[in-house]
Amino acid sequence: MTRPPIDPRIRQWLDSGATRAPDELVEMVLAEFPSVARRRGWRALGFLRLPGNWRDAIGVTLIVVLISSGAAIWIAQDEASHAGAPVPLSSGPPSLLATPVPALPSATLLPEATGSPTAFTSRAFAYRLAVPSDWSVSLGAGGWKGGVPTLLNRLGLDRFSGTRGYVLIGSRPLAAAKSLDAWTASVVADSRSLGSYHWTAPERITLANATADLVAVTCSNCDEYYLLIMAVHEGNGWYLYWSSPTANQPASDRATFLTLLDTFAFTN
Amino acid sequence: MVGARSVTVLEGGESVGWSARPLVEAARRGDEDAFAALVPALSDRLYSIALRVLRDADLASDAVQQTLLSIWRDLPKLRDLNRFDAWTYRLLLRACFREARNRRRWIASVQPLHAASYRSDESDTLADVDQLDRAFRRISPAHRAIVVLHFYVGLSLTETAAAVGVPVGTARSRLHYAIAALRAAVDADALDRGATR
Repeated sequence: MTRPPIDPRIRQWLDSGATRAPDELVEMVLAEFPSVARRRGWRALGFLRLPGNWRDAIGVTLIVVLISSGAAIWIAQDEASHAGAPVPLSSGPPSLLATPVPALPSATLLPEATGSPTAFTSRAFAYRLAVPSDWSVSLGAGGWKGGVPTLLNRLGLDRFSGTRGYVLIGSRPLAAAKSLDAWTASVVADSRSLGSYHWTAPERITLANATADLVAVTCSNCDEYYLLIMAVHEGNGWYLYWSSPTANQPASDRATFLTLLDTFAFTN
Repeated sequence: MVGARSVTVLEGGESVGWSARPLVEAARRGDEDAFAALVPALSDRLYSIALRVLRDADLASDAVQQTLLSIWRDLPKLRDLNRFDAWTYRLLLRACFREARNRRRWIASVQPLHAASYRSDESDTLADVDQLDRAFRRISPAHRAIVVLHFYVGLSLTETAAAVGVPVGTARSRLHYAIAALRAAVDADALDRGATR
């Protein structure tokens, strides 16, 4: 008796099963992945794979450079304090965002390897911002016409994601002479349609020398917490959004968000 | 608000292929929309493999979920994007083996592949399906992985070995063993049927 070949039968048998993942699986992954902290490549430590003598030499060199740099910084600071160098003081109106925006590199679309923090200039909106180098950044395409962003539909806004939360930033042209009060009211009205959230009264702050409103949003039957900042600048309504994962503390979230926005600057 | 957890992929909803390199590159840089666009196609591909290796829909779903989150987490570390497919296979198989090891449900909780969807209605072929299914459950996950990657995904033996992370010789011997086990099961069934006719 001739045995039929087994390989085609195995192939046919394997081909007969399901080939589509359950929808719940896809939805779960889409909802979950943005909160997963990413691991950075370790290209900078590629030398660890070098032969031992090279590795030792590079390691010693790095240590010497670090010690030299530290000593140079310490000496420079010591000389400055002896020379009575002026210490910058804050001036102007009180602001929660009063820290000067550091000098940032010229227009950039992608993270620069200049260390921490990393500066970004938006492709679609007239601002720049520096975020910690371990944050992931996704610059939006623009075209935001208002409306409330959801987890994955960020409506063309820029997105900056860290381990403790993420930030969405964008703007859109406003009708002539629309006030900050009107802009804030329209954003809050859009967002209120979403359900059982509690909105604090707008708190007047300063965002990069522009007047802005800060609103905190809490959920009555969940642990979600959001911060919204609305501002009007050069005829555009600005929207800056902070979302933190469950169980973050409002006080620390606020501090984190506002500290991050210390580096925010309009570019028009 | 964000709590609504709506699921949206790239604007326009364009479909993506298995190795959509531009999307993979963008996802590696941190573009969440790009990764979200990759997820449906990746899910189907990985799920179909995991289901065949694990023979259990729940275990396969868990393994694929872990794998997709691992892909997002570790993608920045993947230096050569040409290895994306092999890398994802390896992550998937690790997740499959972990699922199998942790839950120890290899033999007890097995769901047969869908015999009803089999293309032939010959009784001998349906008997083959049953025999192959039972025989397949008896071999180890490592052997199953080789069979699925080689016969179902269509990888060469070298590619299969790379995806599983074993030498080519080991992959060859595992494949040989698995085929022998499956052939023996089908032959034994044919003998039984011959004796009862």
